[in-house]
Amino acid sequence: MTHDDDRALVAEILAGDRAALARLVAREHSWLVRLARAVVRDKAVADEVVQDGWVAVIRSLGSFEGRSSLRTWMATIVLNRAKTAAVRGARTIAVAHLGSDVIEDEDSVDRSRFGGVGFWAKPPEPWENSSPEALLHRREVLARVDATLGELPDAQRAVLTLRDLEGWSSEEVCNALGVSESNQRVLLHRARAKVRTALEELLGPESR
Amino acid sequence: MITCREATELHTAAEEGALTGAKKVFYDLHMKICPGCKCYRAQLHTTVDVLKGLPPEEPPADLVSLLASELDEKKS
Repeated sequence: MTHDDDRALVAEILAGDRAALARLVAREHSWLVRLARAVVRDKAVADEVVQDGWVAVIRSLGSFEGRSSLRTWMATIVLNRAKTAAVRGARTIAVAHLGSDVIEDEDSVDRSRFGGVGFWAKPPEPWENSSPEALLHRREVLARVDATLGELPDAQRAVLTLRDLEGWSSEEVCNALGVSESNQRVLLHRARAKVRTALEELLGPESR
Repeated sequence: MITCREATELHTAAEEGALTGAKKVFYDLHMKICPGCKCYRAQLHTTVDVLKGLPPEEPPADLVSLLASELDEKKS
């Protein structure tokens, strides 16, 4: 989506084109909800934040100048509301300072899986019936993925959500969340590694 | 040469084109010869495909009308 496309869509909506409004909602609602949930956790509060955010977006649509992408602009509006709601709920928010101190030293794979020199002592084994399509039909897989997403640190969850669940580019994510390219990459990798570990617990040899 | 433990930290960076120089050469070489790391990387790919396949969050049925009335109000 280029900034020109964004500007054209905004112009149509402001001219009263309801189909264009429906297109915007269909295109952007999912990530708004997921991003808000990454910050406030409580589903009902997050849904409220998103609804308020949408109203704010529509009210200030006339001031959208297309200097940033529509997504970056919307993310700012919704993140500000989500942070306020999170503060009210006394939750600490890693997303508020995503760019700075959230990169902690963590291992993608438990150290006990490697020998003293760092080669696999206990290598991963192929998963049975593990086509993504098959896995997506298994209720326990979906439940495990969902639970793991819920346990991720906020910053990891926000990046993973936008990159993998919503298919954003790394540039879009960096702009929307205000993180550097390299931090974004580390957060994404850590989050993916944790979901992989959770799936391994479910699908690996020890579960059979 | 890099170890398996180091390789497990580099898969996303490699895919995003962020590995350069000797690190990239060592990583690529390691991935050619290490079955454990190939399996790990394949599982990461499966993980990402599962995440990409999760259904999107649907907007509430009345959201578009709510926003449309917001727009009308703003105009009037």
